Amino acid sequence: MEAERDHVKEMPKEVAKAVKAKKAPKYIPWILRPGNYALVFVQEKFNWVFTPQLNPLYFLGSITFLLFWVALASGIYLFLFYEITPEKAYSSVQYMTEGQKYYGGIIRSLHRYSSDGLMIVIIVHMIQVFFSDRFRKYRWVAWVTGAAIIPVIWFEGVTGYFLPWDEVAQMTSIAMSQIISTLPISAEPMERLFAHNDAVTPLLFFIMTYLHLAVPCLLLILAWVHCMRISMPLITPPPQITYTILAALLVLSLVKPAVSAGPADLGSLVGEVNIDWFYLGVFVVFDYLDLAGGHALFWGGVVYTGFILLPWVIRDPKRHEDSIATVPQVDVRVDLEKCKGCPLCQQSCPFEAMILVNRKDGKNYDTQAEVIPAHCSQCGFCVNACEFGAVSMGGWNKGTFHDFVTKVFTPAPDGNGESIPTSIAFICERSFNLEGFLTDDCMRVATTPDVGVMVIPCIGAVSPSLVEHCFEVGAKGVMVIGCRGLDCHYREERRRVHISKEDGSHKFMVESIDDNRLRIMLVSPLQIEKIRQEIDEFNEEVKQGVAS
Amino acid sequence: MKKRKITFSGGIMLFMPVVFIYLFSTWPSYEFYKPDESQLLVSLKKRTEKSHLCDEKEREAFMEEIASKPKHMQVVHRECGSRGRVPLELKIWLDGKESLTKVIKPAGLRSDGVVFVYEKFTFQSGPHDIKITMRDFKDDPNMKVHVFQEHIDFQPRKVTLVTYTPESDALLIHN
Ligand code: HEM
Ligand code: SF4
Ligand code: SF4
Repeated sequence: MEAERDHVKEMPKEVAKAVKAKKAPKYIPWILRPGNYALVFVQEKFNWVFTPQLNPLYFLGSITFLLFWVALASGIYLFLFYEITPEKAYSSVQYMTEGQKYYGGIIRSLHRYSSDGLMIVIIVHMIQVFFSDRFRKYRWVAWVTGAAIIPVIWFEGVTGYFLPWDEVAQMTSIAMSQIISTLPISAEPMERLFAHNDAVTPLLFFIMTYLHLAVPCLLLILAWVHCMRISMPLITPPPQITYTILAALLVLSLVKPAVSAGPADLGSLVGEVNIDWFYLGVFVVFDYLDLAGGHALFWGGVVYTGFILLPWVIRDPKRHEDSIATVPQVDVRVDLEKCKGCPLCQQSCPFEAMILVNRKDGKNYDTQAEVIPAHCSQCGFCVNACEFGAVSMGGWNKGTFHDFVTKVFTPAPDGNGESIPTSIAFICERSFNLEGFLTDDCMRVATTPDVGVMVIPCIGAVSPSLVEHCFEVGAKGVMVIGCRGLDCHYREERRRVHISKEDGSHKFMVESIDDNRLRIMLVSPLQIEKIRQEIDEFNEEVKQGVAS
Repeated sequence: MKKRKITFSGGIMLFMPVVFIYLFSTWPSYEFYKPDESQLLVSLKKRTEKSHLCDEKEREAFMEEIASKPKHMQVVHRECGSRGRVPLELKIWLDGKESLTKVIKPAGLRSDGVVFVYEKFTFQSGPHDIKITMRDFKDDPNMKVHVFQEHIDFQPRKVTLVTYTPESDALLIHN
């Protein structure tokens, strides 16, 4: 751990070096690279402080869910005491805030602050998926629904700020209706609803309350679609993070209870009020710049829509020509002659791209596996997950993987024992820029030539039986080198079938494997130097270990 | 890697967003209107005249046509004349200075709805001369012009609403 911390201290230098040497993983489109470097840098800082297991930046989606539940639960309580009329709305909220200071008041504060937190977290979440290049191709559904969620949450916040019917609500309603009026929706300027106190009807309060309750239902639907193509989405943060966030919200609510401004009075102008910048800041900007809201919103919408469409604009860098992967990333196929319809491949797929359908070829199994190409990331997890060798990618299946390993450890005909690699390293091509890292034939590590290499799309494709096979054919050590859990582009952390020892999923490992001879190195994409070093050390270790 | 308790600096990092929320959920405050500002609000709706009204002959033909129809098709509310209505012309003077001249079309694709007006003027509080005229925008010298002319002492941060009701058929201050 200490070594790792020291290493993170070196990060600025290393990022600078990586930038200079163009050492970013080749798969990140160039336009995202500066942001990607910055993101990796910040994430590493957080890893250093929190450890990767508790790094909040790795749990943004699930933290969003947590905050949403807090807002929902507190909202239900507030609704019980809220009176849906222009005359009583203010006093009913005031009653909770003052009259029930230590429960209603706190719950009101929790409601407000969880909503504010929600806004912060979804925006950071968005920045993260964008710069980590996790928003294109097989991820577009999550991206588009996520992007749709932001304005919906904002609107939810705005309807929320209407309900207490204080001066902030007055300002919000007039500003919002001014914006709506500039859109060609209705001939009657919406501001007329707020022309004087009697113009505000109970019906309007009913509609606003209804919206404030209906929008969360829409949000739940959107969130469901958001996670639809992500298998086993992480929707609850680790308990330590959950409790810390709940405690933080509670402290905040006690230190600074949420309160209303003065009661709304449409016969008066709103003077100086406190602004919740997360939701209402936009109105201040419009007021300050004297913008015609509708037009600003329209053009903002156009720009935002353009941003949402970026997955179809940003393309993969040219990579196929200079790919050095042993296993190419091409279409995945299922050989029905071998498929028995067990769910192994389906369980291994991180993107719900492998499904089981009713058996069509008359064989005596209930189901058969089928790939949905548009959902498939070509990560290769399913290839080795299928114990029957039925799944293949570019001709590679379980059998050919094993054959390859056998070949690596077979001495060349004229060779002496020395040329046999002592160990084998499985490295994913996606995460590291391996330029200059390997020998010319891409079979050995350049600086430690007695380590054989198999470059694969992602280490999630390394199955326990493959590791076993390595030892069987003479490897002294096996290294599996990839991204730290949640940095993995293919969400490998969430798949339990691979050999990871960090999440305790030994169940697939055969007991006989000697822990000292298997090393799983999970490092940041820019730590290629560190990999070199560790490979060397590990190789020395196993050589000595076996010799003694 | 062992699981480690969140360290002190981790606590600080986690509390950063909390401080962020602490601050920006209310601060900085913003002043939408200054203490010495007042507002004149003109908000009303008015049904203007039809753009074509029938003369005697047309009206007769119209009545005949209706009478010739079977009973259930004799629409009671239909009047002779065009569906469309004329726009409304609105002029506002503040302290003798013409501040707004606007010709506003009635709502509806065929301009058959009412005319909506929502105009606001913000100025220093204190006494001001206000004049508002409003008429159906039609080439007709006999067309009634609604005039509102008053010397008003505008109170700080108060909204003075001028509106129109068909019952009074006049522009009035709403209390
Ligand atoms: C209510 C708000 C949101 C919630 C509850 C939410 C939740 C989640 C969750 C649970 C995941 C799965 C993480 C995993 O297990 O790997 C996820 C992934 C994702 N989110 Fe969100 N999200 C929200 C808003 C957004 C927004 C605003 C965007 C950006 C436009 C976005 C874009 C994405 C993308 C592209 C992924 C896929 C990333 C991956 O596969 O690793 N989300 N989200
Ligand atoms: S793991 Fe192999 S045998 Fe099982 S369903 Fe998938 S392709 Fe068929
Ligand atoms: S290659 Fe990966 S994404 Fe595609 S079907 Fe296999 S496991 Fe799923």
